[in-house]
Amino acid sequence: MSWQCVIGLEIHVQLATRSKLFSGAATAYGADPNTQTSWVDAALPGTLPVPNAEAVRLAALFGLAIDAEIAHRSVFARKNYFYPDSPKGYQISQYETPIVGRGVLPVRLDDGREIEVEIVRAHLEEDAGKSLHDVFHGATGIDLNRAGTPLIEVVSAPCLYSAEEAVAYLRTVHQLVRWLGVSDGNMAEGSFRCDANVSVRPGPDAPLGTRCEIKNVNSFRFVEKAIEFEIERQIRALENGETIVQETRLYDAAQNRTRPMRSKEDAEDYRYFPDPDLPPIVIDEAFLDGLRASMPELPRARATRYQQVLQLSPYDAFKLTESRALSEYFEQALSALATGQPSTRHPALAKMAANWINGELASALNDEDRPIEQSRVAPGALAGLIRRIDDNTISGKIAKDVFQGMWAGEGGADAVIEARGLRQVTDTGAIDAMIGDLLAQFPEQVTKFRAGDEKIFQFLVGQAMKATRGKANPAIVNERLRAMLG
Amino acid sequence: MERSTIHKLADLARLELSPELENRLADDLEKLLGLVSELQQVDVSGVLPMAHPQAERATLRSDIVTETDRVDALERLAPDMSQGLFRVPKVIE
Amino acid sequence: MSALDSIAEAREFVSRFGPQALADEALARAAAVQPVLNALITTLPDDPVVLDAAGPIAGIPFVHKDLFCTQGARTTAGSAMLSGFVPPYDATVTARLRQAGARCIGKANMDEFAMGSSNENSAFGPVRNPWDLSRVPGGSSGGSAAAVAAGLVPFATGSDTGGSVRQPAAFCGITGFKPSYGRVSRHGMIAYASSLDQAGVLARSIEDCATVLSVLAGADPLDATSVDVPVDAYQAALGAGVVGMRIGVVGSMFGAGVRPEVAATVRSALAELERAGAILVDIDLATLAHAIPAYYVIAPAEASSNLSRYDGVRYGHRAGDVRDLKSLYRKSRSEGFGIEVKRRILGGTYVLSSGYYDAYYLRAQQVRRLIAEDFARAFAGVDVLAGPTTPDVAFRLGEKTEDPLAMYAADINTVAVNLAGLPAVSLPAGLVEGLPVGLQLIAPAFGESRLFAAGQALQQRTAFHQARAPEVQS
Repeated sequence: MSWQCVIGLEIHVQLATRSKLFSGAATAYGADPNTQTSWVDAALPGTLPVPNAEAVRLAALFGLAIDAEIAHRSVFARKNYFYPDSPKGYQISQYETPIVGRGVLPVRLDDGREIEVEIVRAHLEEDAGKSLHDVFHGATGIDLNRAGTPLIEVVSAPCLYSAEEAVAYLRTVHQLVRWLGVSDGNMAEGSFRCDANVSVRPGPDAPLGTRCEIKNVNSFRFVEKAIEFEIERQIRALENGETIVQETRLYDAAQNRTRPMRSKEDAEDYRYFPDPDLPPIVIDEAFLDGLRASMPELPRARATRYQQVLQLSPYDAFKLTESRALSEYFEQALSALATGQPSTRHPALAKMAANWINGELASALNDEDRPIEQSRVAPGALAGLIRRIDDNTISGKIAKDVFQGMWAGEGGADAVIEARGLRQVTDTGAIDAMIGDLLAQFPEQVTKFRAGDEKIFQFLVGQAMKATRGKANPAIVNERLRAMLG
Repeated sequence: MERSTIHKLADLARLELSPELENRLADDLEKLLGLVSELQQVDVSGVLPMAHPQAERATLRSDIVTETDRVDALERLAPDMSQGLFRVPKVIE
Repeated sequence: MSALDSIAEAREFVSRFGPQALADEALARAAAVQPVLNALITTLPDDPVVLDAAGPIAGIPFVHKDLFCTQGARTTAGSAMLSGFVPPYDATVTARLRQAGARCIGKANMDEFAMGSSNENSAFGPVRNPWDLSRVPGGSSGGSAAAVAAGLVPFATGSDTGGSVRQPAAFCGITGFKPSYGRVSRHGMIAYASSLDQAGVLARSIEDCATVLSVLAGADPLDATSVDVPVDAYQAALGAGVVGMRIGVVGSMFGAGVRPEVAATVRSALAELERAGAILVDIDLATLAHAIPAYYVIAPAEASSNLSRYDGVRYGHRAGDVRDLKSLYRKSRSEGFGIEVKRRILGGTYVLSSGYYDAYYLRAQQVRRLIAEDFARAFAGVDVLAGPTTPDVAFRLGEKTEDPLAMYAADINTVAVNLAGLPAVSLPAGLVEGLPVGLQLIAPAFGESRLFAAGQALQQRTAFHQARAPEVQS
C-alpha cells in the first residue's frame, strides 16, 4: 500500500513587543525569575487585562502579509484550565473570532517546486509561565516572567504532505515574521515554536486518518526528524493492524523518537467563553490602509523582482531574500555599485554582488557565527571592492585576498590594494618583458607548444601569473602570450 | 442530577466536597437549572449574543513597560516562594 | 443631626475642628456599634490621607466595601480565602478617593465575593440591619449600607452586580447609586461577574451620591471596559428638576410577588414626583420576566472563571498537608470558599461546560440583548423608568438561607439593570411596618444626570431619606 501522510502545523510566534499582551511588564528574555511579573501577570485580585496596541498591529500586519481577511471585530475568549503556569486559571486567547482569518502562503521547496499552504487562522493569545522541575527537591518552581507574553498562533490546514514540505513551510513563516519585524523568531529562546499534527492514510483519496499532535519541537531539524519518525511509527502501527490513538506526543531529541505525554485523567473541557473583561478589538479600514502603506516589499515579491529585473538565478534570488537584513545588504551594495552605471549593466553588477554576498561574505560570517547586521565589511565597502574588479584594477582571485584584508580591518578595498601592492598589472610593456623572460626560461615547453601541444599554453599562463603573484591582468597575459608565441 | 455530573463539575472547578455538601449542592444546582430553564422558551432566533453592556471596543494601551521588578512584593504575598519562584507540589508531565 | 449624617455637615465640622477630629468621631462611633452591627471587617484607625487635597470630600470619613483593594490594608472580599490578603496597590476607586482627600475609616463587611443579597454569606459573620437587628441589611454591600444608616459615616462605597448597592440601600433606608457600566473603573475591585460589576455609592442623600460619583467617574487606562464618555456636571444636574420629565412606571415591577404595601408606598413617592411636574406613564417591559434566569446563568458563569485564580499558589489561603498539585488546588479552594461561592462556581461551570454552553450561556447572552433592546425601546418614550427596588422590606436573618432560590427570586427588579449596563438609583420612599422601602429609578446608559435631577426633586419635597434608624444600643 502507498501511504500518504498529512501534516498541519500550529506555529506559536512571539510578537516583538516591549511589554506584555495585557500588562506593562517587560517581555525581555532571561531576566531573574518573576522580576518581570506584574500584578496582572500574577493574577492578583481585581487586576484587569488591557490589550497592547502594538501586539494588535503586529498580528494584523502578519495577516495582511498572508493575504488574509482581518477581522474588524475580534474577540478575546477565556480558555479555562488549572495549571500553575496559568495563574488566572484561564488563558486569554481567541476562539470563535480570531484577528486573522483564512490566508495563503506560497512556499518554495528545496528542489525548486512551489506549493501554496493554506493558513486557516492566526489568533492572538498570551503565553504561559514556566514550570521548573529541577530547582527544588520534590517541588516545582513557577516563573511567571513569560506569562502574558503576546503570541500569535498560526494554524495551517492539514495540507502538507511530507516532513520536507512541513519544514519548508515553517521556514517560510519564520522568514516572513522576521522580515516584517513581527517577531525576532529566536527559536532557542522559544520565540518561535511549533506543534505538528500528523496522520497517515492509505492514499490521497482516503479520509484523513487519526492524528497525533507532536509538541516540544524547537528547531527546524527536530521538526523534520520528529515528523519523519511519527510518520514511520504510524505506518508501522497500521501495517501491523493496530489503530492510531489520538494523543499528544513529545519529541525526544536525544533518542529521536516521539512518546505519548502522560495522559490527562479526563478529556479537558476548556469552557471557552468571551472574556468579559475585554470588549472586542476593533480594527477599521483606515488602520488597515495605514498598515498596507507601511508594508515592506515581501521576500517573495523581492525574489521575483531579482529574477525578472536583475536576471539573477532562482538560487541567488531566494538566497538573498532569506532574511530582510541580508536582502537590505544586497540592495545597499547594489545601489552603491549601480550609481552612474547604465541599467543594461545592472544585471552583471547584481550577479557579481550576489556571488560575493552568497560566497566570500557568507562564509566569513559563518566562520564567526556573525549575523549580517554585524558584518565586518559594510555593503558600501563590498561595492568598492567589486568596483575594483569591474574596472580591472584587480582580478577576481586577488579580490579574495583584498576581501580578507578588509575583513581583518585593514581598511577599504583601495587602501588594502595599495598597502599590499596588489594593483593589477595592465601595462603591456611590463607584461611583454615578463613574458620574454618566461619564454627564455622554458625553451623546451615553447618548442612543444609550437609543435602543436595546446596544453602547454595553460602552463605558461600559470607561470606568468605566478611570476606576477597573480597581479597580471589575465586577459592581457593571454593575448600577449599568444602574440609572442605566434 | 447525576452523581457523576456533580463529580465532574467539582473536578473541573477544583473543589473538594464532602458527601453531605455534595448532596446539598447537587439539589441546589438542580433547582438553579429549573429556575433558568425558562430561557429555553424565549425565541432568540437571529439574536446576537451580548457579552458586554456598553463597551463596544476595548481601549488599548501603548507598548510601554510600566511595571518593573516586583518580586519582593510578590514574595510577601506568596504562601510558599523561594529563589524568586512560586513553589507547588511536584508536577510530572 | 450629627456631623456624620451628610457631606455638607461633615465639611462644616472639618472646617472648624479639622479632619482628624471627625475621623476620631467616626471611628469612635464605629467601635461602639461594631459588636452589634458587625458592619466592618477591618477598622483603619490611621489610614493615610492626602492632607493637601481640596474639594468636596477632602477630610470626609467613609467606609469602603472590602472588595476595593487598598494598598497596605487587608482586602478580603468577605472571604476566608483572602483573610490575610494585603494588596500592594490601590483600586482606581480607592486612589481617586484618596486623591480627593477622603478618609477611609474601615473596610465594610459584605457577602463573600459579593455573592448574596443578605450579607449572611460573609466569612466574617452577618451584618445586622440598624432598623431591626433581627433583620438583614441586604447585600452584598450590607456593611456599607448599615454603616451609613447607623450614622458611622456620610457615605460608603459599594459594588452592584445584580442589585448589591440598590437593594441594601432600600433595606437600610438610604440612597444607593449604581452608575452605568463602564462609568467607574473596575481596576482593583475584586471581580464577581465582570460584565455586570459596577462600583457604586451609598449615602443618605442623592446629593451626596452625586458629590462622590463626581470624584469616581471617568475612564481609566487600567480598565479596558471603562468608557471614555465625558462625565456630566452632576452637581448642576441636581437642580434640573423634573418638570416635563417622563417617568415610565413599569407595571411588571409592581407585579406578583411584590408586597402590596411596598407597591403602594412606591406609588405614593412617584405621586410626589408627579406633583413636582413629572409625567407618569404606564409602561411594560415584557422581557423583564427573563432577567432572573439570564442573570443566574451569566453571573455564575463569569464568576466560575473569575474565581479560578484563587488556587493557593501566589497569595491567599493555601491548604497544608497536600499530596499533590491537584489536592493543593482542591483543598485550598474548598477551605477558602463558603457555600454560596461554591454553589455559584458549580453552576457557572455547568452552564459553560461542553454540551450545555449553547443551551444556557449563549442563550442567556441572547436574552440579555433582548432585555437591553427592550429598555432601549422604552427609553424612546420616557426619560426614566420606575418601580420598587425590592418586592418586600428586609427579611429576617436565617429566613432564606436554606432556600437560595427564594433569595435569588427577590433580585427580580434589580438584575435587569446590570444585564443592560444601565445607571439606577434606589431612593428611600417611606416605611412599611417601620422598615424602609426603596423606589428604584433607571436611566439610559450614561444618563446619570436624569437620576440626580429626579432624586433631588423627590428629596427636596420629602423627608424619607432623613428618616433615622433607631439608635443602635451597644
